Amino acid sequence: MNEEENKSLETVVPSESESEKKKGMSSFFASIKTKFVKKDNAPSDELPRDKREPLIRIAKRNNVTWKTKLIAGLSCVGTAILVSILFLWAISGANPFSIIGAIFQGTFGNSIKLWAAIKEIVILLAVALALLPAYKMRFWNVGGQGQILIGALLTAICMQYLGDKMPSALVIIFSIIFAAVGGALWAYIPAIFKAKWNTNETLFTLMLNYIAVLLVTFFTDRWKGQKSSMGTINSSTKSGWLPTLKLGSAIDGKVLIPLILVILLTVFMYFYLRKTKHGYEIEVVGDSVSTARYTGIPVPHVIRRTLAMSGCICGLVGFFYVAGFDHTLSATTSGGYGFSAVIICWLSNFNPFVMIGYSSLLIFLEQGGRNLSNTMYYQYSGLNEYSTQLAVFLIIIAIMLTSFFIRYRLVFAKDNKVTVKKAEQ
Amino acid sequence: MGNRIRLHHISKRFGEVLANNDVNLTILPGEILSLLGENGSGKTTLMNMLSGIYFPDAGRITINHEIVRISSPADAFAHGIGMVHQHFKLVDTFTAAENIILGLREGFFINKKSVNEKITAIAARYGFHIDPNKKVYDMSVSEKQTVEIVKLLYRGVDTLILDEPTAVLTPQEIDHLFNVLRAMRKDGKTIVIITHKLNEVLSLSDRVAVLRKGELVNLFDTKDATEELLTDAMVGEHVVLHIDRAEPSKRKQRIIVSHLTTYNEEHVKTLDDVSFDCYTGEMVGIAGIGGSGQKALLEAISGLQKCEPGSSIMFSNGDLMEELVGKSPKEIKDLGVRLAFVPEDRLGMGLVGNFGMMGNMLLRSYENGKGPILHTKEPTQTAKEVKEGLSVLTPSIDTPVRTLSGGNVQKVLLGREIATSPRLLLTAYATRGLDINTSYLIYNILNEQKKNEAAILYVGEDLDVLLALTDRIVVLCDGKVSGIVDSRTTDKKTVGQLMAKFEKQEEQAHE
Repeated sequence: MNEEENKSLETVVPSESESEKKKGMSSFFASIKTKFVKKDNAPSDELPRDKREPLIRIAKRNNVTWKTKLIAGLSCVGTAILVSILFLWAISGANPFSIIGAIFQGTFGNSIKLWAAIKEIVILLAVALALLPAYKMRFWNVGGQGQILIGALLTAICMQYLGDKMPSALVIIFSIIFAAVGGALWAYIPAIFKAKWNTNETLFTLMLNYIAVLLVTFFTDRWKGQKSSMGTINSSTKSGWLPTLKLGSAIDGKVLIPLILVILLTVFMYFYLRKTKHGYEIEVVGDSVSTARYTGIPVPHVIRRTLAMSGCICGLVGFFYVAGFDHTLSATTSGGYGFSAVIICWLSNFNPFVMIGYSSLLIFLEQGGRNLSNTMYYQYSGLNEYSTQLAVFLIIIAIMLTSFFIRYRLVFAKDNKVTVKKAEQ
Repeated sequence: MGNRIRLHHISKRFGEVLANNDVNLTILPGEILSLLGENGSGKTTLMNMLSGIYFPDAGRITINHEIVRISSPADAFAHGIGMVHQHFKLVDTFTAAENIILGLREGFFINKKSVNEKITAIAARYGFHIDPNKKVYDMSVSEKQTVEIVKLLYRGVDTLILDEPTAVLTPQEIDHLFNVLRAMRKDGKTIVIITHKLNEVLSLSDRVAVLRKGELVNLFDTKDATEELLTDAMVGEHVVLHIDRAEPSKRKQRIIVSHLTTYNEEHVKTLDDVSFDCYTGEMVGIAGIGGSGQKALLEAISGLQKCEPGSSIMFSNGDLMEELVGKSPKEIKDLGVRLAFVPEDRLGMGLVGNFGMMGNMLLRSYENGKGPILHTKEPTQTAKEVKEGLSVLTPSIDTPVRTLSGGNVQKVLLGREIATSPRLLLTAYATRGLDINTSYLIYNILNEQKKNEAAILYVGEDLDVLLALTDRIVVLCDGKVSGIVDSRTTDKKTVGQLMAKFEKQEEQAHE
């Protein structure tokens, strides 16, 4: 074996004279031997790996084909689902197949569950679409929650104070206007500061969330008075409530209109960002503010305009929450979707149509997890709300890793060993 | 005596790019070796592997026939190898001495006095000028470079690698640096200098290694080399380098800058009472050490920089004279002033890296056409014309321009700007980082624009090019105009002296 390797080495250096080569070879291998090959005396033609060279390093993939994407995606998500189910199985002892069954039942169990899931998807997708133009502009609006709450609060105020003074339709119109303007304002304020003084929009929008939460609690606390909770607004007159379509038991009349609207919004966002002058400006500002200024794009104006739109849609989501779905208000009304939407935006790489898929997946997992803990908790105490949520988030993190492994690959140091093919002169 | 360093079959790959391919090179003790090659030929990568920044994918390094492993700069220092990078790695708020001893483990406390003495001794030995107690932020580029070199010598380095050391220096500073390097060679130090300037190679080095596309293509003894031989080796084919300078028509003044004064965001004066003019069909060069106010000048003219009261930039637009000071880029555009600007930061300011050629052509015209929808027909046409006319190498006009090579990026930018048939063309370092052929292509394009009666302001750093290309040169020094000279009659030395005029006066005032 050793002899063979030496031979193969000799054959690749025909250019040098015989004596020089042998001398060079022997001294070279001697130096390797003394330095690196201590215990096993095989003179390898590979230099040992440097200890300080990292064992694994990350390299960018050159050509990403859909095959790589599919393999990376399936292997990441597949592993995560497997790990999640194994995890749930390990802590509860429940049959893995019934776990999977319960997860699917969460969304597809019956039409009520399906429409509940669709409702959640619609809301999540709407918020994600609202944040999209801001993110495309590299404006880190994490204030979706606050903007939704302000819209919800203003709707509740309209219903509460105007409900018995005017017809329901007028209340609804007022609610829409107030919710849209309020939400827009809640995003416009940080945009002004960003445009004028370049303040940090992440902190600013985050702080406005807290203010919105406190404003909502202040009002709900006043409205509820001595009661333990606020209850339904205008429960008897239903003034300001969005009318529910009666479409039979298979379709939820509350959800249908928002569903249609959000589909329209998806298409609109796609065209707005790709085909319009506004969308072009947003993309240039997001890529480089210097380039935008150089071209003559009024950067502060674009920031303010885009954020007003972003906030306006969030405010309208708040309106639908109160006037369409809940008919009540609480600080948890927005359900944390202001933050989940951020994940959706990034995962889908800012493509509105891809967002539909990711929103659906996220809600499917959440509903499935909830159903799992609801139906199987009595049998297996390990399957509570928290362990199922934990499993859901494992899967979401795996999805995020997928996008990483699509772009990069791991290189193990052993592929990287230095092969000495020619002897030293 | 120093060490004999050999690189054996060194290869390094970054993604698709093979930065170095099977390079064999010996560095002899006590020599000055030039590493010559165009941008992207792998000079810096190769030396980075010697100084421990990168680790080779294949091949090995021997010093005096012993195999060594250099996987960090500390390893390199241990073998007496040190590198001065093109972008200095100094802590701004530290003094020279603090930077020099940074990272050395010589006990917990710092003996400032002995450090300073050692630094002064090193400086005296080779003829450096260095003040150990001066803060880095107060230093000129040349002083910072001195600190970097002394830092290496302080660590006992005997093989110094200098990456493009002359790119930011004035001719006088370059002369001084070369004298220092010769003194170091006399003292037995080995020096590797990475450069793409032929005259420096010929005047300084003992041997020249020429790299092309990551491979070592030629190794000359400097005494056998000529500029022509070296150029051909660098480019890989015989090239005729000739700038065909068009005579200016000098019919009328296109732009008159007077008393222009600007401050930057830190309220430091960047331009101080700058006045000059430029005629139609004339190319005015702007010379100066980097950061002498070139950026502020071009940005002021294009409306990106706020100007102080009293400043005036008059632009002759047909029969009208328009004042550009106080107007935004959009207002200037709306006035019908056809002004084109090729900024220094091509991808960060001139282009959108994620857009293709079409998207980038849109930057100048996206507002055209009615309604809120983008009209892409005309820019698609322009993109095709630019791709064709300047032979831009790109898979399609929708391929993101950030994936293109530096030369092609510049062609896209320049192509878009001249597509507007500008009356005034501002260019900043138009050929920085480009290969020789592309550079000459760009000089020719600029000359074509001169013939089209455009006035051109050409901010450059290579004095040879400035002298051969432009009609007049405005020399900036510390934000002030230190002289306006005729390119046809002046010489490098004069311009070099003007570039450092006010610094000299300050020094004299101090003494």
